[in-house]
Amino acid sequence: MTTQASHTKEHHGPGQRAWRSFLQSKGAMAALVFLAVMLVGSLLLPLLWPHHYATADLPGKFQSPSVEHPFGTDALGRDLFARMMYGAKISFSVGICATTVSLVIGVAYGLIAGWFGGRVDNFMMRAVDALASIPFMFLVLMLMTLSRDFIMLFVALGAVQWLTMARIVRGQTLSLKQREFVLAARTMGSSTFFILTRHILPNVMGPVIVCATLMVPAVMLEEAFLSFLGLGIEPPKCSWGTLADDARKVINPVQTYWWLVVFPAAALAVTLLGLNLIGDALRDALDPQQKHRGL
Amino acid sequence: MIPHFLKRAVSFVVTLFIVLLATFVIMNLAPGDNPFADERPPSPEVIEARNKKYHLDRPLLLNTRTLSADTFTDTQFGIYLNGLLHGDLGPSFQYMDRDVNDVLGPAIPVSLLLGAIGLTVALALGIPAGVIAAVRYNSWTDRAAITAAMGGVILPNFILGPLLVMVFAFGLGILPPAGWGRPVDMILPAFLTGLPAAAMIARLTRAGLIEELRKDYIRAARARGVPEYKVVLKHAMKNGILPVVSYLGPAAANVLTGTVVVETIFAIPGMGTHFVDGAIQRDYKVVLGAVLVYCVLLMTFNFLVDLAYRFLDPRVERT
Repeated sequence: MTTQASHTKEHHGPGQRAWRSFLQSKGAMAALVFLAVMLVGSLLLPLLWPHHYATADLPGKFQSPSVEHPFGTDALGRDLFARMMYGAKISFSVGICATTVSLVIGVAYGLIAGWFGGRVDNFMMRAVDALASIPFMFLVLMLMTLSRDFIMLFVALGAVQWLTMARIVRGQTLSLKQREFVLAARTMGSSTFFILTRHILPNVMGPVIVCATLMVPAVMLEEAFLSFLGLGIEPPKCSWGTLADDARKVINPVQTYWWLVVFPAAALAVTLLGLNLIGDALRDALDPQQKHRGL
Repeated sequence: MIPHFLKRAVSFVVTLFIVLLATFVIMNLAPGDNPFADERPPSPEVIEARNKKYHLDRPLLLNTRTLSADTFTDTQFGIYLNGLLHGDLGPSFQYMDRDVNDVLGPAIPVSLLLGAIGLTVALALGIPAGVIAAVRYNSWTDRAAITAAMGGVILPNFILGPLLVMVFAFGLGILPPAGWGRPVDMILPAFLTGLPAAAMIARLTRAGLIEELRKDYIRAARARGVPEYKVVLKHAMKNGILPVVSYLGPAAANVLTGTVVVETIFAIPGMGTHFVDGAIQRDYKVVLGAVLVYCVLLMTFNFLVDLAYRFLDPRVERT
């Protein structure tokens, strides 16, 4: 890697420099490897694993960790390891899908508001401000009351997150459209759609990628929050949030089923930490001005 | 200043109205919208009486049978809005003999108290941690503080809650695992409610203070021989704390969301418990009422924060 980089030193563009800076961040690399291993593992291991996540085995309930059940079993004797792998799949797919939803809405909204400016912009951003002033988690909870569908979960969580994205894209677009290369493109008769997708969009991608990376852990956290309250994933499906909820319900002073609490908590915490490290490293790489502001 | 606040008040009311309207429409479109968990189909008389009580016999938004003032008022939405203007949140689906007001009324002070203690904890933990980290910038203390703050972000209170209950209530047996009323009951809930916001406040305080401490007026103050504690706490703090003040609004939202989780974990009879319960039982009236109360609480708080910010930073006025 280093030899290759030194050969091409004279051709470094900002993109390459950002990429190299990202690769040099040890924490982010470790997080990336860890998350990749976990993701691939949670997709492939269930094919080999002898226990199914939803198969109850009542005589074998509340077994502490052993060779047979490395993370123990829950109140219905279900293998916690299998359940956590299934939960990883759910947690990640909710995180990624809801982020994609908000990415699409936010980028399109921000581009339109920023590009057309004036009254359109004023109206559109007023609406965003108004929405942002509502405590959104409560609205998501309300939406989940109305329909506790898997799709609804994506939509509700995506709908919370797109506001920040729209603001970022709109701000960037406003300043980018004043630049000479946009004027040049216009002079050559490029259509608005072409300018937006070929000139503006690539230039806003940096902050958008950073925002999206940090959005994934935020959405996963919200999914876990909803599931913990019993308003997210419905049984027999499970996510790390429902596992934490299951654990909370069964711990008692006589028997602390610590494994039920500790393993899902650790999985969620380590994943969130990893995604945050990756997001921070990406931000430092793509947006160097932000780097030393201490956040 | 006054036009600004008027504008905010108007936009608040408009937003709330649109949210209400949207919820009513979605409610109607939601499949299987029978909010009563009937085990057997009830007799027609029961259904009729019930529909009358909950105004389910009225159209949702527009009464097209008559084209008069009744077109808007004699609808489910109109009746609800009318009740709301009179401070009545309507009947509850879940509890046949209690109104939403009866359900939420006693719970509001509980949640408000928990939220207030939580926010106090957040400030009392976050600001000193941020100040110490900024003063000892790049030292081990600083790194420890940053790591702890990261912990506050990756260990949400619904994960940390059961862990702490396991350790302090069941393991060591020094704190109660649930309940509300005695001061000792409040220790774990208050800590858990405030922690996520404390982490963010610590990071903001640290970042704001580090930036201020690099400025010329600080060097000038130090050169004048102003004692270091005064330089930090009096000179730099005045500007460095501003990001925290503007974060107070989101912090309050964070704390209030936290009360929902914490109330569920510790079985505290607050709004959050009823809110979640109502959501699971599909009691729209309780859920909608709780959301409205939460919104009004937060909006009022944000309004006060805005006022405070204008007082602390007069430059806002001029822009």
